Amino acid sequence: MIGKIREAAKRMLDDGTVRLFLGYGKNGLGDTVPVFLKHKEDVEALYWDETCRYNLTRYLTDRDVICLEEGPVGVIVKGCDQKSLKVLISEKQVERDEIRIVGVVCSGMKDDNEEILSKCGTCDSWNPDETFCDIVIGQTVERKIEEDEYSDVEEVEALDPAQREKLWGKYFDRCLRCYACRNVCPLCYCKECILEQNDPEWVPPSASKENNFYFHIIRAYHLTGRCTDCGECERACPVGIPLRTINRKMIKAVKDGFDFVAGKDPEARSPLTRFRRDDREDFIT
Amino acid sequence: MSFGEKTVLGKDELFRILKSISEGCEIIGPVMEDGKPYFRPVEGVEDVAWDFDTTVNGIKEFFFPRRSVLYEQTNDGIRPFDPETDKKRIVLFSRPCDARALTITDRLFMGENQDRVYGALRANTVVVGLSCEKAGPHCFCLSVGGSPFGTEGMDVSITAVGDDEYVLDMVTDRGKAFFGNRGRKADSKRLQEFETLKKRAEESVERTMRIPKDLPSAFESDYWKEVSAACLKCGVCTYLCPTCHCFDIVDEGFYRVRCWDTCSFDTFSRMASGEDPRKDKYMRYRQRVYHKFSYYKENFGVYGCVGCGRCTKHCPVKTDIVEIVSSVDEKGMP
Amino acid sequence: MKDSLVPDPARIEDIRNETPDVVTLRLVFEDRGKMETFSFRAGQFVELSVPKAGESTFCIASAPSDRGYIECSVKKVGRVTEAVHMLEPGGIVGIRGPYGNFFPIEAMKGGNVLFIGGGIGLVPLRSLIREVLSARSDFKRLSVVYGARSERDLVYKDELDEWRTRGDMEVVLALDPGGEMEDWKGEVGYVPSVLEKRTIETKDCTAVTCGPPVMIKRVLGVLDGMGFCSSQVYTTLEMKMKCGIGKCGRCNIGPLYVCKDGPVFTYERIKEFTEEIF
Repeated sequence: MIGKIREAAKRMLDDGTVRLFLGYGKNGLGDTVPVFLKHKEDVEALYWDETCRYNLTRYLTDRDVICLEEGPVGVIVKGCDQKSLKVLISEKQVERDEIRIVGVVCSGMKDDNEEILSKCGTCDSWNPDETFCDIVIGQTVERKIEEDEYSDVEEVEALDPAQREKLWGKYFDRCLRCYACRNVCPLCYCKECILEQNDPEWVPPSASKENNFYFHIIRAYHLTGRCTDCGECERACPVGIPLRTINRKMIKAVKDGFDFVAGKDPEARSPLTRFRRDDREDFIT
Repeated sequence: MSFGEKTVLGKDELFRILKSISEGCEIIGPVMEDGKPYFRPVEGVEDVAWDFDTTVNGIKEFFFPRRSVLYEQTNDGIRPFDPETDKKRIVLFSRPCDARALTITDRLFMGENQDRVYGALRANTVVVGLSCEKAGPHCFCLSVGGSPFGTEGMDVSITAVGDDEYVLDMVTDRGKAFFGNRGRKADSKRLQEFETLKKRAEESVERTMRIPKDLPSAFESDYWKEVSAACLKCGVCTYLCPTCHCFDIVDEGFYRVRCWDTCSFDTFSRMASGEDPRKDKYMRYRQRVYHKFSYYKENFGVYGCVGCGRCTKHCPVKTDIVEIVSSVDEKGMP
Repeated sequence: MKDSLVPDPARIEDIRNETPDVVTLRLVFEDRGKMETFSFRAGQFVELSVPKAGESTFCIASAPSDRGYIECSVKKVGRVTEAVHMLEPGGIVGIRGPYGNFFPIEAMKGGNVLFIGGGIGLVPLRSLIREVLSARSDFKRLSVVYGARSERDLVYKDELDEWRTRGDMEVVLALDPGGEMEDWKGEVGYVPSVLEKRTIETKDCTAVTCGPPVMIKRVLGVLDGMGFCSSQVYTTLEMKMKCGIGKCGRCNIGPLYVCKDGPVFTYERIKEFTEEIF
């Protein structure tokens, strides 16, 4: 598989299809890291294994690293990353013709302890979408898709408000406000985040339990109808806050309420950004 | 028994002593939370873990809190908030790197214009350290002047020597005053064993950081753009760092609050006018490296790093400062 | 122990509108003793705070010889400064300081002094100029070159008039091209160009400049060209600051902290900085 990835990257960099290629490499410790390749000679730095967890589409909107106007960029996506990319395209952050998408078939990623990531268990997109990617590398994986029951969300929903407050209070008390969750998120691309605005200041920057509640609730709302559950926020969190449970609560709400799942169609608009005459209104009192 | 002499005692006895001396104190120690070790305030000595990997957080936040209210601005004037100076605190089982970090941040906070909050929290806290028997995969303390058996910043150092026995070393007068004379004098066999374990622990430190002699010469290099490309500009490395000490001062309603801040953030050095001397990501990453390995050394005589490896371990994209700093001479000189 | 981060309350005695977006506050410490013991040197700054808005850094605009009050001029650019502009005489602000180093006025004595300012950058120079004028006979020739975007953006207009007409100092005022009205009698042009056209005796002369970064950069170049020795040229730098005492970690240029080792630097020192500052 890695041979084919290197070959594709080499070809694209060589014939000028792309001027930059985003992939996975290794650092000196043997850990997987994102790499940004400019020359065809560098493709040997590319790696592929079950630790290629990162969602590289996050870098497509990182103005410090990439200016898409300067020419096409190649990017490796797994099925899950591909969903974020579809949202980025639907939100006009990335033009489809500014990128070359190398889809790689994935059979589940592992964490530092070599355990398969929880998000991979219910994944419905191990095989990238051939109609969306420029190339798909790897043998199609045949696998029965496990229905996502949202049991993690339901477990929390079953608690009474006081218990829920206690649970999230425990987690948010731990939050350092390092913003790793926001900064790793491919959909948190705002040039100026509401969290950084200080005039007026919407959310105080200091890490108190109360301030952290505001922060995480605001973030959850800003991702509602957009989040594709790539799980990067939860993976990046140094203090183990189960952020996916928050996002998945909102995903479930949008699915139940609007029959919409983000990241399926690059043309689709999230229900929260459009109006339809037949939109539900029974929850408005 | 002369000062600085090591003593030996069994685990049960040590436990009883710790329990009695921490009576009436707030206790801070390592505990497991959702499968990961953290330093947290605990109810009692029995809650503290005796065998644990590098904790997610260090002990920094108990001296330089994530958030401290400095004062309240009332109609009748300014009412300073007093840190609870009368409350005695004991930190149990600080690792040598975390304890040593205090001696590094002391140079900043305890020097000219002493920081009141930090000063008060340092004054009311006894630090009991626990030597590392074996280094973790990210540790590199030996490269920056530390050691798995180091005692800097501790009041008392404890080392496990096998057979459920522990060597006690009174590092400061305060430690001695707190502990009193405990245990029996370590005999030469025990002392020899101690030295063997120390050597073994030092040998277990697998990583080495080579700090360039002339970091300033690499300042203009494009190297910093390359090594920081994947950086997310989040605060994981700085907030978990035991020596990072940058802060912001903000108003939350009528409270003036001092809270952690980091050079990684976009807004850190951006002025109200929009001007920013470190506007690009690589400039901020370079600032972090230079602050630790050049400026802090120049201003305070030590590196702003204790080699705990948390920044590398917890970085969401595994940016490895050890490799980056070590490769400056080879790849980073213009 | 007194906390260096806790301010002293000061009452606003007077507010003067300098330009549409700059006001000058005259401040008196609520504690009379504090007012009497508060001493500073021209070039130093304070941290001024408004409850619920926060704290920001401002140069002291009055001179050490102005006893019984201090003045700060504040341009509306962000959260704190907007809150300052909402205040009225009698209002209370918090003051910490004075912080930073200062202009070496003793070393300037017996010689000529050239002041070059742009926009709100006249504030620290005003403190120095007032101090120099309070001992006028200690100095020889005094010249001021000051420019702003338009006539209404000139700060301290009354004082500029006073300086111009007192007869023992030269004052050249300039407006950016396009910023002048028909009746403007001063120069038209950017400060560095206006400065470049003048003949200045560099011997025994100290030059002091402050203004927007781009102006300072060009002025330093012009002074270089005129033959000023870089150790005779002083400027005062602006960086985002929070603590003012070299701890919060954001205003450094290399190992130097602008709040502690600056804000006043000679051009000679600036040339040694590894970091690009303008």
